[in-house]
Amino acid sequence: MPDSPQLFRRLALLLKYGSLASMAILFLGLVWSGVSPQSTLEQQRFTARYILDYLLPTSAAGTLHLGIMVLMFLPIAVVGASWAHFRQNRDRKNQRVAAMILLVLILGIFLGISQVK
Amino acid sequence: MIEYALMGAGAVAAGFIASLLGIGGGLFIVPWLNLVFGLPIHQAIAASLIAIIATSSGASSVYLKNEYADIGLGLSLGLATAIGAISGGIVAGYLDQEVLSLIFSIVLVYAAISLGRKQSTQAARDEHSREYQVLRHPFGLGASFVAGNVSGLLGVGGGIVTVPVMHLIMGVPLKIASATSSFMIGITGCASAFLYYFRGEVNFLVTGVVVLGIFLGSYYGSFFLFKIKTKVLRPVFVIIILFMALKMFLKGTGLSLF
Repeated sequence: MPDSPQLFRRLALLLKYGSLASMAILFLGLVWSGVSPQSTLEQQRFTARYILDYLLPTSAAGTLHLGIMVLMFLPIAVVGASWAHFRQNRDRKNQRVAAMILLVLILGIFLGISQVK
Repeated sequence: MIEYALMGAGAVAAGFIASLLGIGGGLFIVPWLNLVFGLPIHQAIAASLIAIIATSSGASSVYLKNEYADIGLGLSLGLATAIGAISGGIVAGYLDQEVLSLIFSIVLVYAAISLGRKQSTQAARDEHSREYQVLRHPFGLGASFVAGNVSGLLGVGGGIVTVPVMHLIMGVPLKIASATSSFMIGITGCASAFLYYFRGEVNFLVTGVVVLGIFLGSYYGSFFLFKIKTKVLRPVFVIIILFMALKMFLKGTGLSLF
């Protein structure tokens, strides 16, 4: 395995703290929705039109949304960190692979936007 | 509110069982939400995909800390699973509930057979070895595309395909194959999760409950991994999965036995 210990450590920390942050935010959102159920239950389904409404965690639904977003962007951050590491270490082959995954993930986001109902 | 508590309890159980069996929780979560709570299958798949990112992140952080995963291999196969996941996620948007239920039932049968046979293959290989040469990489890419496709279509991790392929066909030791697969499924889940998200199929509250539940379940499951005899539990879970396959099949076909 050619991967460096530094890369292992970086990615492990990113995943650990990213997932813990997301869990903490989701837990807060669930507690909030339990305390004031109407703020979440009335608008629990999300459509892209409400992105701006839900961008800040000013409601239970917004907090849950933020926690989900942190989690959904975590793999992108991991691939981005891998790309940066490979670039730093002039590992062209893995750098190209990481760049292609980033492109595919970004393409997935744009394809998703194109499917907004 | 009691409904959400039950959903959460099911997610904890799914995470617990999944970590004991070394699979993602999607196989249990999607039928649990769809069959028991009547959640539309697209919403159940979306919640499962996001939960898979959570379990993958939690498990991978431990595997990476211990330098078990093969990051280079994970990224190259992850590229194929991500492309497969996006195509699966797009197709899922055009399929109705019945068709997805039918396909899910077939994947559950495959998973049950695969789990039933897992013990014998585990014993056959040197699972702790770190010295290996990756073989048949193009085949691995093709299989990863299929695994990603199934993941994006049905909200399962795809590890049930990628781990045996990496271990048995590509010559990767089992422990490294499991860790690498765990690393990959987060990328796979992310690729298709955005499609469901923008189609408005992510139910915040259900997803929040399921993600936290499955994360807790898999965390505690990892502590019991060496205390519970999975050899004894495995046949029980195989029967449960086959039962879920039957229920999904009946739902897909509109037939009823009871």
